[in-house]
Amino acid sequence: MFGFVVPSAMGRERLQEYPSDQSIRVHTLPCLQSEFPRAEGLRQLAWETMKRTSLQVDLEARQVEFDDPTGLHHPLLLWSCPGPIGSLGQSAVFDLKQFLVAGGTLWIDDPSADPGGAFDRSIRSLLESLLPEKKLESISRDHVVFKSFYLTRRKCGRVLNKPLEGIRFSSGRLAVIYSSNDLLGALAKDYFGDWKMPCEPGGTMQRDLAFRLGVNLMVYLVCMDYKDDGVHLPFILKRRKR
Amino acid sequence: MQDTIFGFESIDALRLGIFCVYAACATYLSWLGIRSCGIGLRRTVLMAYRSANILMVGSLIFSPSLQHRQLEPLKTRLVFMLDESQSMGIESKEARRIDRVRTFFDLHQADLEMLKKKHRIEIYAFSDRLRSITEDEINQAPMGERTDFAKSIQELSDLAAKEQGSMASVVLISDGADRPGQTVGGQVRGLSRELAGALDGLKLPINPWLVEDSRGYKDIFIQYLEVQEFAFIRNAVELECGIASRGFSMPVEIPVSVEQAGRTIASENVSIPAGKTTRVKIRFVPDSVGKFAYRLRLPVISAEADHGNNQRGFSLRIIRDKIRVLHVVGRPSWDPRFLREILKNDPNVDLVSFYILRNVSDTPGVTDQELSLIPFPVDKLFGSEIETFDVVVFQNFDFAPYRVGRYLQKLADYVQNGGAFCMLGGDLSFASGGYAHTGLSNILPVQLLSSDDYELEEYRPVLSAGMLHHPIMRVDNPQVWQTLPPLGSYHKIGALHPDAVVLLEHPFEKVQQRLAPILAVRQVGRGRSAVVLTDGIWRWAYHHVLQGGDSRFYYQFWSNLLRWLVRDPDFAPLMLRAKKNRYHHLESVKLELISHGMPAGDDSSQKGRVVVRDVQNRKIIHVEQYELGKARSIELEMPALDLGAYVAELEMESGSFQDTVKEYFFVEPAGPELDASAPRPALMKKIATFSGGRFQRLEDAGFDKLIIPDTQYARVDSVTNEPLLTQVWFLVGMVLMLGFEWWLRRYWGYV
Repeated sequence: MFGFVVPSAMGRERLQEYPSDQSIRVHTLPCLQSEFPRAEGLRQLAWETMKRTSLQVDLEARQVEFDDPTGLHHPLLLWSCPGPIGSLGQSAVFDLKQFLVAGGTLWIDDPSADPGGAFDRSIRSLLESLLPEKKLESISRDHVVFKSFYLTRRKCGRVLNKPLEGIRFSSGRLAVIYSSNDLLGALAKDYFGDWKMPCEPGGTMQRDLAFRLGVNLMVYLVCMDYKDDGVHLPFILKRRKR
Repeated sequence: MQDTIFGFESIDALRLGIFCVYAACATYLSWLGIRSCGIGLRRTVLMAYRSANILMVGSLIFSPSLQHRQLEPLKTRLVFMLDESQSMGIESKEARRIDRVRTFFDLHQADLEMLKKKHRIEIYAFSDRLRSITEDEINQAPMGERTDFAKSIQELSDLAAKEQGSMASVVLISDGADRPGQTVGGQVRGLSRELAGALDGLKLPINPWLVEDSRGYKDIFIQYLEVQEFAFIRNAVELECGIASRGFSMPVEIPVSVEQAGRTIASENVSIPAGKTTRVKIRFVPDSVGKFAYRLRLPVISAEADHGNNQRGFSLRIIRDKIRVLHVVGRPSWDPRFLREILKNDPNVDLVSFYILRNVSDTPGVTDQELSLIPFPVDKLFGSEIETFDVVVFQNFDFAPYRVGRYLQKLADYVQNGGAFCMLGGDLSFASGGYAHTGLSNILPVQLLSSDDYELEEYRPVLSAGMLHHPIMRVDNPQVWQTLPPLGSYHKIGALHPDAVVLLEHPFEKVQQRLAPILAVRQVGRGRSAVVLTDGIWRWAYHHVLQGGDSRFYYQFWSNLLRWLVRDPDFAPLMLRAKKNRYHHLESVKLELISHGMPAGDDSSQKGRVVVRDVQNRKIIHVEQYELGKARSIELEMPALDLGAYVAELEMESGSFQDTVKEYFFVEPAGPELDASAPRPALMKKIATFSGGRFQRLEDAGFDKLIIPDTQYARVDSVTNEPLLTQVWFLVGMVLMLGFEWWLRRYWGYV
């Protein structure tokens, strides 16, 4: 599914690496002193998304570095660290900004589910320097991300601290999506197929809602505001009332 | 008549040379002899006298003689300048202005004959150029578009200079409706600087004769018309025009109407104050799409001098306010997402999207009530409503699971009948989507394989030869086509349809001995189709911004493709453009045929004919053959046409490329002069005053009142030479001159 190198003949050349265009691949950004902690949760989300929807999602995430020229070639980056993120150089900040402007989405999931914690503080600080003119705000309940596939709620995850937040560009697109509730933690399974962490306080129902929001996020990334089209509204309003 | 003048019989270079050497040597030797002579005055007198003698003796080498000439007296030339501009064709109740001039000459034939005895009569017709005519041609149809006194008089002045005099006077017969003369900037004694300069150059008296209308000039006319080139269907079009009244003493109330195909579609009653121009706004609402001819019309009032300027044609292209697009996506991914952003944000697009978010095999794990999904209204979209869409886009969509297969033939018919279809790649598209051997495959620019055709491979697409100027590929920065990011997939095809135009190609993959297409388009019946044989062009937008650039070309490309698909006239492969929207009825009509790219290898479609028809009755007026060859554009020139509204239509020689290319144009009587054709006696009087001529009105004019300077001209018939050396008086005079110098020297004591 990766771009590959073809033999050098008849004008063939070594080309930049691009993934297949049909599947959603998640690139994870590096943490300061640890590995990406939610690989199982992300794999489970990818598998559930493919099982429940027509989308294709790569099961395995790829960790990219900022100095990797192909690192930003896919329009979805996930940042989830158990501790603070490292400080970024100027070129990394520029690249990250270009990524968002080009149409990429930065999905942030706080595995510590600790608002005000080290990860939360470092991420908010980065976003302020990255997009000083934009504000990270709670996503309203009417936003299409809560109805892109499932009709779901604003607060979903392993815990229920805060509703989903995001930074919205002038086109209406959410360029940054921030989940403070360890969404991927709610989806993670161990090698024996058991849930790695309990969902509190809602248990199974809460976990199911976390899956629904995760799927919605994936659908939103490639469908954007499709479910805001006029043709869908009467159906959605009717179902919401029920 | 005879006269005698002094002259030299033989002057040539050799003699001149000898003379100069002789004069120089003799003068020098004389100076050597004289310089020692006494005081300065005597020396100067002696030297001057000696020099005169040297020249006198030396000039004998040129055979000085007396020339006896036999002269034939000549008639002076009297020039009549006759205005033949548009305004002279204005018809008052009895006759045109130019006819009144003819009548005048007929009535005064005897006087003219008398004049001919004394003067040679020459007649020139003029407008913005001068041409010689005979007396019989005086009342021919006006030829010129506008009067330009300055230019015409300047041409006459050049003519007079060539013929070295003999021109004595000029009679300027005109209504004085001189457009350039009306310019105010830079005046000399009330005349424009150019006209004053021309009169100065001519140096002859000009006798203006003013031609007026028998009952005074009265006219209502359209002075100007302002209307945009295109308008939106079902949206009000507002045109502005200036309606002028001249010669009426009272305000005139008239209806101003807009007609289409002889039917009045809008009308406005206006009151025009006497001698003024009133600005009028008229609104109408077009109800169908296309290019149409309209006519702004004023009623003809009985006392009007000119009827031709009471109407003016114009054409208007009526376009949809929005392009209605049906976008069907089989599986959401990055390519549809970036395309959707464009379609959704384009104010000219009315987007209806359907994404397949769940297949029959997918299990959301909840009831439908907890999903935002809605049924895919296949029957409604492809059955009853398909005709309401301008473009249908299938993007990585396989029809079979959704019962769309039964509508594929209908979709193909929709395209044949003028609709547009675009298929984009992906693992559910083209042959991989099962479209081979379906009705829809027949309208695509490519023939599909029977088996899976979706290939994953990284490559950089290349622009097909000669397609940089194709309307779909026209972007602000054409260099971008050389630096496209690589694509990650392509669809193999069986063959290229003969009518297909390939715009982008695979760099090395081949089909039928040519590079495989990545982007191809085709004219299908009255509709159009396009294929993008990859699912990777979203990278054009994403990649360029990632590198610090912008994605404008990606937006332009999609905008271009949509407009081409809906047959926006600006995006036709061949375009016909009239050089001017309005032609003068004596002017040849010029059309430009522009090519924006033709089907691959289809050279035959470069030939054809342009048929010009009358808009009213569709009668063929003129047929012009064309052969485009390798040229991107050619100019077609056809003879002047009668007044009316015309449509030029392109007819291809090859049946393979049926496109309706039309252009409307109008042939009208009104040149720019007719917008203000009132006679201008003041200007004519000023010309008379400036040049020293006499102003007269035509009805009172008389040849005897013309100012013609009494100048004599003669022609030399024969010359008889009498050499001076044979004349005794000359020889005696010479001896005396030489002897006097000798005596003077002796007298002053210098021997």
